[in-house]
Amino acid sequence: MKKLVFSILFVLQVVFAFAQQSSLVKGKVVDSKTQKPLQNVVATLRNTTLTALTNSDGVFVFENAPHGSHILEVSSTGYSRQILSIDVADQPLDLGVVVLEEDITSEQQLSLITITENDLGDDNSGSESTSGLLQATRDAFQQSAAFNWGQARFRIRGLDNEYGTTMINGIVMNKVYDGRPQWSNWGGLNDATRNQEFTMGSAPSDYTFGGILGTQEINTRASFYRPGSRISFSGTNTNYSWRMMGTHASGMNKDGIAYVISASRRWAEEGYFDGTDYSANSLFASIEKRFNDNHSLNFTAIYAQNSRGKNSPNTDETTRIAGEKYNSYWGWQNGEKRNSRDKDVEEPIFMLSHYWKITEKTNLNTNVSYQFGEIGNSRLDFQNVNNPDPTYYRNLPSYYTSMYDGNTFIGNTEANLLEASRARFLTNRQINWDAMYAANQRTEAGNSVYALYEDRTDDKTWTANSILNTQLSDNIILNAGATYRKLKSHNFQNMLDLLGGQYFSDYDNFYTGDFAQSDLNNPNRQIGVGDTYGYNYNLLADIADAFTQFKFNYSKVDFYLAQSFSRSQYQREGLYRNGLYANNSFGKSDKIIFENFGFKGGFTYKMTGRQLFDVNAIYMTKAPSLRNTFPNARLNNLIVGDIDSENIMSVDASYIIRAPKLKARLTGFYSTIKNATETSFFFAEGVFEGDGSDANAFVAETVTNINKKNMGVELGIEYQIIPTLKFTATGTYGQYTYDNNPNVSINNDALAALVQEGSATSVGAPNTQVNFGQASLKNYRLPGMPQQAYSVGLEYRDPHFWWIGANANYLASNYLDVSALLRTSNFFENSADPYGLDLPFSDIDRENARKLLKQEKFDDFYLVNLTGGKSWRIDGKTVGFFASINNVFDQTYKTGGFEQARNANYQELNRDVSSGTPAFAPRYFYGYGRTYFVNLYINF
Amino acid sequence: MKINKLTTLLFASLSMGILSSCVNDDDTNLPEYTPLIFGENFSEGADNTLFEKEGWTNFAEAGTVRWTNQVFSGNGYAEFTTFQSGQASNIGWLITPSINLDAQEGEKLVFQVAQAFVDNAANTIEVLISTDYDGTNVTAATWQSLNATLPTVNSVRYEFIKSGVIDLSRYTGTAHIAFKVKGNGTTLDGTYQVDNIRVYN
Repeated sequence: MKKLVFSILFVLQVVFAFAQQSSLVKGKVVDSKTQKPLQNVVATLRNTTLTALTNSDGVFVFENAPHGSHILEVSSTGYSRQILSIDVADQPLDLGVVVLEEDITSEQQLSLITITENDLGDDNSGSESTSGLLQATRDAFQQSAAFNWGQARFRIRGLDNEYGTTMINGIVMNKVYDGRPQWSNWGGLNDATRNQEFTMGSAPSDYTFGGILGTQEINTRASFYRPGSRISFSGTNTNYSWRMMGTHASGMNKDGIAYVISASRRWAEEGYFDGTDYSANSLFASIEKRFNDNHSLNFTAIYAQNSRGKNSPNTDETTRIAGEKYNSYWGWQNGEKRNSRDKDVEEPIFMLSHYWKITEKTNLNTNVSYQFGEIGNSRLDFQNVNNPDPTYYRNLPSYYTSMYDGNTFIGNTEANLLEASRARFLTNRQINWDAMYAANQRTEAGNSVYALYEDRTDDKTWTANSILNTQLSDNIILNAGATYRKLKSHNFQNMLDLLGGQYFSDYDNFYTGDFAQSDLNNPNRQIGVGDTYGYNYNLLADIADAFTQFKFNYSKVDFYLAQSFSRSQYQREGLYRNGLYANNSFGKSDKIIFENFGFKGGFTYKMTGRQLFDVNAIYMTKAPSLRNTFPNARLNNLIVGDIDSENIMSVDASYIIRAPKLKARLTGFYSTIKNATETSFFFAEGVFEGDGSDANAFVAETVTNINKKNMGVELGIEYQIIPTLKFTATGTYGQYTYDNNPNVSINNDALAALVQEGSATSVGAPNTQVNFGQASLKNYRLPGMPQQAYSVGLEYRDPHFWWIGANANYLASNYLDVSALLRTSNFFENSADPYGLDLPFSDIDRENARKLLKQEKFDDFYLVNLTGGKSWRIDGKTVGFFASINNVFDQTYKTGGFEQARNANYQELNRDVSSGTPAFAPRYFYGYGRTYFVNLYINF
Repeated sequence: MKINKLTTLLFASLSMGILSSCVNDDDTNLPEYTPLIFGENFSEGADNTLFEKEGWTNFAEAGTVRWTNQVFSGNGYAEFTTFQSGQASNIGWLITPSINLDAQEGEKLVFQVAQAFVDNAANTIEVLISTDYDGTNVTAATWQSLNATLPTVNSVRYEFIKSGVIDLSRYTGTAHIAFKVKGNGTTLDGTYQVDNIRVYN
């Protein structure tokens, strides 16, 4: 296969003849409001490699535009794009004045709610599953997805961010660890990262082969910024309260130097949810030196530091008692709300870019990037003492009202009802920091029994890439690129606060002797603040990839073909010799190598100038992410047994209308992802027999051979009723499901102790993976996003530079994340059966079992949003404001949730549910209620 | 306009494809398992009451003592005791509902029995199978003995003993399993307890 890919990569590179006629094309760009010339506006001849920037007089010139019909696109950040049809013939063509209008959606982009991840797992996943590609494009559907549905965790085509590609200057920013981009690495730098290009689905990008969700390319080349300064100040009540941002772009001076600087700060003492503090500082600098017409160097530095308190997913019971904004992670300390689950991200990026115009028709862009830094997720640790979580199941009324004595329900007895009425949670809803300090000061040895630590990931990533863009003939463009990435990811547990004690003992209190040691090379350590303990390992990755893409453009039809090849190599390096895994935890693991390829192609048929028919198809394989390769990475070098690459296939077809008043797109899409692997890590009670139901054990679940099927239709219509009034209607009906019954296994560290018990020497690599067989997940819905969304909106834009818009949205078919473990045959096995024959329960009611395992569908809901703004021209400066109110009617809605992962069986689940007050009910996340955003800005 | 027809066709086939693979929320399957052919945990009856359950036969062939429900530490079981029965002979049958042995192959039986105060080997419990029992006339049916591990006079009191796996594959038709205890109110006045009966394959 590899050979085939290589030969296709190179054989297609036939030499094309260069023989064509050309003429000069020029024009002048001015601001519609001031009629002043605009500098650094980008003019592009579509389907060629030709671009030109306007000079200080607003003039752009194409010296050698090829003869024939062309589409000329004139665009600049902050302005609506102008598209002109031109015919180039023998005579030079002067287009005269091209007027650009200020783009109001660029203000709206600032108000995009940053949806932070559902903090589900405890795996220190650095990245965020925000609606990443939900940024502003000019597609009506994508605008709805970003501005109207993003707050409800809508995902385009139901796909996770790992199936899209986010780039800065062509450097892929998706993390190797889980394939998702870490948005907060450049969060708050909206002005500096506004120069973006998007593609949707598998449509071709000039910078990468991409995936099936689409691509986002952020360009930070300093000379591409329109000169000027901008200061803005915003207030909101979402995850932060205030934001200040300032940006200055110099434009190219006579020495060939251009620079851009930007800084912002966002903060909140308490965001929308209780106890969620927020503090983010971002700095950006980009400087370009143009040596001559053919060579430019650009250096970009991005430093974004972000610290926020997380909020907890809650059961219906806690929400009923404490409300939707309730957050169990914080507690009072010295009169302040202190959150025990902070996420800190600080990963600066440095990038050196070389732009080489080899010929008029050939450009080569080469980048080298280095990113390093830290991601920390804090949480409480405790040894042989009560769980400090206020929502610990024994603290809740349901613990008493769902109680059984043997086979007898006693949840409704007078005694239990009384206990329930004085359950601890009713009076103690928050973390009790003072009690933990007191407990730490009471210990005989002076050690802390409670401590605050963070799961740390310190990544160092080197990336180098080259992207070639060349016009091979009048009708053929070649894009090609190669990238090499090298990652060293150091993962460890870092002590943050001993909470009044003198030290913390580094041992696992579930085990004894050597088994309890986290590092046999340095046993029985006393841990102080800043010390590493618990686990400590490196993940190493080397990834190389290359792609070529040929685009053919003709008057009736455009088409393209692209292919890619990549090679990924992963390895774990243990820095601790864990007591349970003395022989397979320390040192380097085997290397695991994935070789992947992809092919895609598509065409656009221009039925008329205003009607297009567009088809894209892709087949590719994708290496599993680093996190999904090592099922118990914290403790040992094990690699998921039957891990293999994902097989991905997708097709979409669109009918597009581009008339002066009406713009519409109807798309059908169908994609399958096969053989995916997902590992998840969490703390849970009672996953294993005999570990005591109070044990808060760290569990690693691996689900392999997952097939998913995402299909649906998308519609976007934009109709200009009168020049000042625009109507939009958008909608999508999707169906995103599991398409097979994947395999579930769970890591049980306790087995390592059992296997080796009594043996003088430890066993090589104890098998601790418990295989639960297939989970009946086929036709269950992929969770965590509305699978249907509809929107209608009106926008009035007054000639006097004010505008107002309103839209109404209906979101439906969002489902709970189901536990795979609950849907294995283990569910029906009676673990209390005395015979040890794995026999099922004798009293299974299949109808009742279906009810218990039915996937919960969240309620549908409506969202109404209002936006508006106005700007003034004062002394050559633009002053303006933008305001929006989202969810005007303050609807309460669930955005996601999950079944608690317990090793519950039919009998236990039936009892828990039939009690009416289940103790282990699903936990949910909620969307924001009514929120507002106001932004004041000045451009000068 | 060939292309337009092609377009229509493509859209039609795409929408057909989408419609035909639509799933409902109820199109999921339960996890696979092989149900028990027969199972009884005696978990429903109240403590110290006569055992009565649909399909079961609780029959006193001699004397008037019959099998009862008992609950100890949340665990229910069936018990037959002739202690203080005041009768010269007690024979109690506990007979399961009918079990279809034709619907599958390789049937096996397990159960647990405990004894208390059984101090005479003549104070017996037998495990029997019949394939011609009509559901009412116990003594008219043909009962064949099954070879099981059962408690003896030396067994620890109240300790449930597993029967061992009893192969039923040579029986066909509609079968009933019976637990038959013989005792009296004087010398043979021990107690037998039966729990966790399973027939599986």
